[in-house]
Amino acid sequence: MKFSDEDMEHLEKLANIDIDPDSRERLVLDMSRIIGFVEKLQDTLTTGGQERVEQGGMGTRLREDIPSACLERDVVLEQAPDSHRGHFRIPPVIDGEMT
Amino acid sequence: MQPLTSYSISRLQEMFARGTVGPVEVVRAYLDEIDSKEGAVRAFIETSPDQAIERAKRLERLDPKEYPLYGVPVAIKDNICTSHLHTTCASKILAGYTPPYDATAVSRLLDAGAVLMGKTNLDEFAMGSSTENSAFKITRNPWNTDCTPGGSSGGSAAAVAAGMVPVALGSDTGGSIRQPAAFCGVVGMKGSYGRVSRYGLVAFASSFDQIGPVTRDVMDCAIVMKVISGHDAMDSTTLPGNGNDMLGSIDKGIAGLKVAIPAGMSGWGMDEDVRHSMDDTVKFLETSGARVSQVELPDMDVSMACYYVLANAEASSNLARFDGVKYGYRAEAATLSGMYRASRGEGFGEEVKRRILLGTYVLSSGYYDAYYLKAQNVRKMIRARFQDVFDEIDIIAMPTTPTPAFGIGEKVDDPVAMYMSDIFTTGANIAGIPAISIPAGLSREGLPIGMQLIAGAGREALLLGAAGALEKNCRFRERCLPDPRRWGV
Amino acid sequence: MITGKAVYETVVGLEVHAQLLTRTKLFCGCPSSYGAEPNTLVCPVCLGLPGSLPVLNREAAGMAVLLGLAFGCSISNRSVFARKNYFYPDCPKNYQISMYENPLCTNGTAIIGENGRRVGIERIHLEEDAAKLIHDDNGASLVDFNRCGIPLAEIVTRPDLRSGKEAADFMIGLRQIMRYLGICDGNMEEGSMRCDVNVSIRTEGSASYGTRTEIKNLNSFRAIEAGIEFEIERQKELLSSGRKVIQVTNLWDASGKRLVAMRGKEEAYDYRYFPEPDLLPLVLDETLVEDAAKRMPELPDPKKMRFQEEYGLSAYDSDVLTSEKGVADYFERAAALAQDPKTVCNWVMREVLGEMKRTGVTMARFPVAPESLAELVILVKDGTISGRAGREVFLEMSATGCAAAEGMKRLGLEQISAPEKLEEYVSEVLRENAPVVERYRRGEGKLIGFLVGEVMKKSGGRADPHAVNELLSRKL
Repeated sequence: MKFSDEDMEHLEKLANIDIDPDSRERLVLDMSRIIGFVEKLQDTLTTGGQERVEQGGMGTRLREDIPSACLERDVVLEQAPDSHRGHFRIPPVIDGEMT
Repeated sequence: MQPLTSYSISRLQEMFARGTVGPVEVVRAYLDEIDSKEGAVRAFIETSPDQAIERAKRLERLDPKEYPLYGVPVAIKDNICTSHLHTTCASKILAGYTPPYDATAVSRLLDAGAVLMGKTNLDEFAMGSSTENSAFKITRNPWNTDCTPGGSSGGSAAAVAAGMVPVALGSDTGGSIRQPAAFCGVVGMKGSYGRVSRYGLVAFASSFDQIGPVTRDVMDCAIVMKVISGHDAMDSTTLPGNGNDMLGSIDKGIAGLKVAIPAGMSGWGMDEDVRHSMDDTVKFLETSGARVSQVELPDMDVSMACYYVLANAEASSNLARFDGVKYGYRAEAATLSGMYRASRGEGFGEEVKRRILLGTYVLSSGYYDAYYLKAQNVRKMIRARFQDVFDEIDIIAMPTTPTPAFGIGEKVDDPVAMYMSDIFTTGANIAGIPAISIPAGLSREGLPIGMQLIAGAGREALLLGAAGALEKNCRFRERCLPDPRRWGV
Repeated sequence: MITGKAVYETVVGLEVHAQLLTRTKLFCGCPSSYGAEPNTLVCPVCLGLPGSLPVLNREAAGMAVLLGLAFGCSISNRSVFARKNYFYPDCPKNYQISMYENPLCTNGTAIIGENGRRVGIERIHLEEDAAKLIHDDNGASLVDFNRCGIPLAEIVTRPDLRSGKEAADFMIGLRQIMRYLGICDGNMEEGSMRCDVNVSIRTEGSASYGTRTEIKNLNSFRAIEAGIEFEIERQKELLSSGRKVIQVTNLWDASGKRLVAMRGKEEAYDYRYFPEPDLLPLVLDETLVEDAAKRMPELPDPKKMRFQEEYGLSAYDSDVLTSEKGVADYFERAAALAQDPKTVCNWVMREVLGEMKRTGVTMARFPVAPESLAELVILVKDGTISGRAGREVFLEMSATGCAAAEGMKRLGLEQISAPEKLEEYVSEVLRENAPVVERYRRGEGKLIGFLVGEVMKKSGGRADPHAVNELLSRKL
């Protein structure tokens, strides 16, 4: 499958990653090659044997509804790039702007 | 007298118990090794000599007999959280980050009396097979510093191979413990999926990731596995039970076991020396009473494709949290989405970006069915195939990698060629089954060759027993060790 | 052939998010409580710190199952958590753990309004709540993760609602049931119950749906009704004038009673859902479902019917008494003790609910216990005090929390039935009203009422009216 510049732009947006213009062309090429590489999945028949579910792997384990210790706020905010009055501070969020 | 840094864990424990040596002495000896060799090997992102000595001193007041890893120096791959040391994943985006908690595997090591020596280098976020994709440094193979140590746990494997620590933790998503262990001539193991808690392992691909040990021999590996294994309330994908049976078959050997060799191995670009090693292994197996047969494994190309689709799909989601809001690197920008895109664009390296983009692609609308869903179905098929295989046989034996360590820079420009160095290892991750790599010999260039043993889910004890027997036959460590003089130490 | 203006039918579907009243969050042990200092109820898991992993809260699963059972949903014995991927700073991992293809509960029915309309419940699933964003004065935004990870039940209806009023009725009914189940306090203003609405219109009788729009930020029942009606009118105008409805998400501005279009939604967002690899599927063990079934209380509708049949109450009274489980329980306890459901019903309807409304106190904190009310009702019934005095005593009890006898004593309202004292009042009244006595004796029998009244007045209302009547009759 051909991987285009537009595909790259779309992925940059979905993944929220700026791609450096210098490496862009090569990255588009890499992506084409990697997609070509995983393309062989398409020719694989998957109607074969059925996986058996392992013992103990039946379902997720549940936790009882019992409170446990929280982190100290100072410890939490110490790692934040920016904080203000007990909050994490970030550039302005526009309502509903999904990025 | 043998140097202090040459003893196995059990030997060290005996010496501590008798009081012939103390943790401070041992830790100092290893710190000296790190001092003299790190410049050439570059295995560590951070070392913690002062903390290590402090801890060793505190240990001296405790009873060695109560701690299975009393005074044992360990290094931790830098994608495993440590509350007193940075955890960077070798990424600019996490430079300077200190987690507020220890990974479960780390706290179990500490509870067992181990001493943390530092954090080892890796491919950024464990994405790579050569430890060249680190934002901070390129680690070198102690056997030949022009070669990579493999990856992504290259720092851990190189540190153990160079004798800077007897034990290191790595993480294995598609072979990231076993492949560098093979390249560096050490033992590396990943257990069944869920055997070791992932709590505190910075996720690359959640349904594949496992933490495991890198050690000098199989016995040490089993001892460490026993400590770090077992159910963890913080990771609901862990298996029930503890690791107590890890050493249960360690002396049982390989006689009577049904061992299978994958059919059609010649087609996989295998190096001639690796093939010789494989032949030697088969000979050994036959003469030591194993019943050797051939087995048809799932197509390895397809396995690789399946692995890359699923692992990177999960990775694209797992790595979404690195956005400059709560921790780590933030690029300043006027708008929120500008901040996101610049922080991630500048914070992640090339390979990580490639994988996030691929993962995003295979999950995105219009491609989900053709790639993600298809790969999930292929995964089920592969798992079913392995289940069938292990109904018939006990162990699969095969090389860990098709070739010994490759040169630094040799594959950086060809991501797909780089991926192919994991071709023999991803199967165990797809199927969630235990696998171990042990050093089996040297190539004509003097580079280690690793042999991989794989067992059915939950059969770590059997696997360790077989690996012990093969190791005894190879006598690798008695015959060969990397020579530091070659890299000017 | 139909001519003139087209008749449009409204089609509304709801997505409701209800915060579950668990002690801890959905995937970690942080308390899921309110009002704490920002970012103090957080841990590596709900902050999405690298390496952290979710572990599902059993109680949250139980509550969602309970809600599903209340609506007659099928409960899936194997539901799957999925990651919903999107970047937004209220979502620390930039994916939300939710359910997508295999939700916990499906295919239920809710019955709403007076004529018992059936509304399909498409699904109920569990997901984690988002953090709170605050807009800073200096043009930045601030994030508080305390709320992040509180369990939410998402309830999705089928597009079965036909007006803003019906949507509001559904929400009122849903809140009532969730309060009965004790799984959500249903406070829309505080955001513990939130509602997104999908609205479209179509020509009446049409089988297909029109283009729908979404309204968010509806934080009261009134807002739901008003917002939907507003949007229906807007869509009608568009269609009537030959224009098209465009798929859009609007925010309801309650103060200006208008809709504000949200930005950046020109295309459907690609959430890239996939099964959450950190959690195995939720396989319900039998005990979990059984425990939920055991916890199932009598629901409002059956209770209402029973009140009418068992206690002979009117439909209206039964409705009011069962509006809240606490009130219904209160009534039943007092009625059982006083052995007089109808009288107790009157007391609860008038006095108890009136007092609750006046003081704003909830049933749980109401100072007059049902036992005390029963005591008071008995005192009035056996004539120890008059009805009017009883109401005064009730107010005293409600103000101070005292028992009925104690309240009576405090107000000096013990009824006077001692013959000597009554004799004294009666004699005085007869002396002071000689002309009336004269007229009574000449045959104006109804004047006895006046004389009883005078005695009552003299006694400050405390005389036993029966005894007074008897005594007067004798003396006259």
